[in-house]
Amino acid sequence: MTIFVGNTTFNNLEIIAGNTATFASSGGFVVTGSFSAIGSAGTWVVMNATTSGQRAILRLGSSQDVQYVDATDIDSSVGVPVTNLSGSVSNTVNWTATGTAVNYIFTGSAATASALLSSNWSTITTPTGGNYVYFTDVGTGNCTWDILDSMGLIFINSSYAGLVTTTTRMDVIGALTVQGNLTVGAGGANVGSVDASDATAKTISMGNGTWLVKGNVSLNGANLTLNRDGSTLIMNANGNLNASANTLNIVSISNGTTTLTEALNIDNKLNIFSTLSLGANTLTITGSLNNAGTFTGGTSIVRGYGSSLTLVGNTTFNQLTLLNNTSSNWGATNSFVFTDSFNVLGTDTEGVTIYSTVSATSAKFKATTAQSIGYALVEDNNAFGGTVMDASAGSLTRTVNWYLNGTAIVIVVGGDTFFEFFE
Amino acid sequence: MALVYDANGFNVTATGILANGATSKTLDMGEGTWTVSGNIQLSSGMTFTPSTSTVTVNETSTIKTGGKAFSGFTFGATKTYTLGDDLNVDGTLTIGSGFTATVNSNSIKASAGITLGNETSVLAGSATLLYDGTGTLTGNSGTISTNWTINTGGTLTLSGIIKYDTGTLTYTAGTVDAGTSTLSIVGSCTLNTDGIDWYTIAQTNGIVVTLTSDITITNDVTSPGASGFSYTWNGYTMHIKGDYNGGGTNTTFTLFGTTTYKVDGSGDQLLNINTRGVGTRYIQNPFIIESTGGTVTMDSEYDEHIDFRGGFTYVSGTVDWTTHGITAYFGATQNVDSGTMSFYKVNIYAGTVTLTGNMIVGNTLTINASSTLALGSNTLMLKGDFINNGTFTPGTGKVVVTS
Repeated sequence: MTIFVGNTTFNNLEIIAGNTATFASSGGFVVTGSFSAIGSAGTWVVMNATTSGQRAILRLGSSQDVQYVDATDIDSSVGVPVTNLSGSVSNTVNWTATGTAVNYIFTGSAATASALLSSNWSTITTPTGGNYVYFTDVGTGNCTWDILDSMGLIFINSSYAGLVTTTTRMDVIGALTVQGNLTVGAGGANVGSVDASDATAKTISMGNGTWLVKGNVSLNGANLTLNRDGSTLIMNANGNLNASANTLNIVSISNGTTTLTEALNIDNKLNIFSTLSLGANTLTITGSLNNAGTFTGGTSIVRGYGSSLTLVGNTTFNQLTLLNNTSSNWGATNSFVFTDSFNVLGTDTEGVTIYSTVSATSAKFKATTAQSIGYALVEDNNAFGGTVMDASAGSLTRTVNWYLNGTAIVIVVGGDTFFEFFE
Repeated sequence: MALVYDANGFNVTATGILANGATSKTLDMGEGTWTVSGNIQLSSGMTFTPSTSTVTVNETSTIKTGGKAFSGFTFGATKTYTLGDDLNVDGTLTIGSGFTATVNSNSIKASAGITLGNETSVLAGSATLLYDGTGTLTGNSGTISTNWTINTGGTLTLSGIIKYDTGTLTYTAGTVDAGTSTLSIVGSCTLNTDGIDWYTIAQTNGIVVTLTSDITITNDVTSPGASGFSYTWNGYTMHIKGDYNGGGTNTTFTLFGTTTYKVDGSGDQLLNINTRGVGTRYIQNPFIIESTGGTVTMDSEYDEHIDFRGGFTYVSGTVDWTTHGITAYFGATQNVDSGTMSFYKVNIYAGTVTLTGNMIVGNTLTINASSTLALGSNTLMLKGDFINNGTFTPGTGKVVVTS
């Protein structure tokens, strides 16, 4: 904290996020150049006067950038008015706050302290819509989140040793920052973004509900234990998705573009209704890929495996690899293009099946470059138009443009049905 | 007829040694001690064999060697000795315990050891002490109060406390091994010793030292404090590689002069500089911190203030002002460039302080009445309070509130 005493003219004055600047109530301060006080949702700038209720004079010019500032007792009646973005003001002159919010710090100490109970909050009132909620070491108990209103933000600080458990949907307009333990119930969460990227050891249980997120999702903290449970993560706006080293259950790309910034593991479903951009990252799918939107493969690798892998919807992969012992079903009549490579890691004992989702109705493959196909059991696949699909061993049933160990297959066409014929 | 005297190992007591006639002479000093209470006059044409003898002179006398070299030579009484030509001593040169030997004219060329008998042994006079050999100078807190030149192809090893005053100490060539010795400056003098790494330098109140080259101290600089004490160093740079022990809890002093104090050691350094923060105790000299390793810890036991008045520059290193809660006072018009170093508290006490680099203040920055802090185009990082009772000139710079 810095206290300014004595009339002073500054050229440029900057207050870094997380700091408090206190100006003498009796003093006058002028900034002739630029004034910068840029806090953030979890790290505000505080400006006030030395005597509560007695304003300090602070004259600012037109060059000003004021965000997330908690301003009290500041008089800027002379000079350029101040717009305090996402800030709060109290007893100020010529200051306008947009997105005014009040901070609530959890103070509960009970084993199950209800968030609805006003005595569990620093303000002795219950947070309501748009307010900022903080869990810190001030609160020593576990919090049961049972508030229905949408908070401005919720910040579970690393200093909070308790557990936040939701019994209603956790609604947050802005960021849900998780540096402590969080268990989400069946109601799920509806948040602007999720940030669990810090290195604090913590556990997040996603529960069996839906997480609707309108921004970035960072579930990549170095010491994060993530229980995906039966959750569904819906990406509902443009945002980055980083769940490095963790596995998600169901992910739906519903609106906007979701950009992977790290490898992504999904062991149930990946639904694409808008755009998923993989960049150079690896996507590993155990369950199903339902592509009804845009799949931008970039220079990525998609790895598929499991006993019931299903891929549906016209999709262009950069590189796709089916791991050994994988049973895959490909959307009948759907087109799958492999621009870089198509690899099947099946072996004699752990073969890979490549079937269509509808028997006797082909899925369409088109490889434009190299393939490496091991032991494969292929049925109902039409690779016409691309390079030859040459499996080292296995069997081919109703296939087009497939070889078996370098040997061409004669195709007999009967209606829509292909019949195998071995020379 | 030739005259031959062979001391043959006996001790000899003589009222003088005179060997300046035309007759051929041979003098073998033997292995004993010659105690001479009068003049010594050797001739260049004689045969003189010093052997391992020691000559002790103990009366006012004239010494003329004719170019001959003695083995051991001792000034054994508080007397005045006049050199008729250079006195060459190839053995140990000794100033006897408790005696002041005033040796005038020409030079004493010492080529081996030098021993000052005790703390009241003084070599004074106008003769220059020229060291040109290999040996040990044992100080025993005695004083060299003559011009002193070190110009040797060998190694001079220093031992104990060697006091110096009055003349000019010149280093020209050779190796000087300071060991753990102390050069104690006890009077105003001139030092030209670039090339010597002194171990400890001590000084006494009121000295005025003129540097004609840089001086380097690897261990301590010691400056006792008391009311009115001061130390004046002019010219060049004092490289402080170790600690500065100046004053104490109840003792202060002022550093005058133009010599730049440069703190440029490579390990931990403690600077205990008790100059007080207000009034008449201060550092008039330029002050630079250019540490290359360890931590420079600032201290001032008297009132936790250090008053700089000759400019302050930080170049490199880790500097700790916080452990001892030291306030940097700036009590006169000067430039300050503290760069990336963080002060604890700063007090602009008098005059105009112009920043020529950035300044970081970890605690309170105070500008006193009638004082000015001129920011220029620099950045002032504040981690504590800003108390402006004087003038703050913002220039084109920036003030940043941070933590």
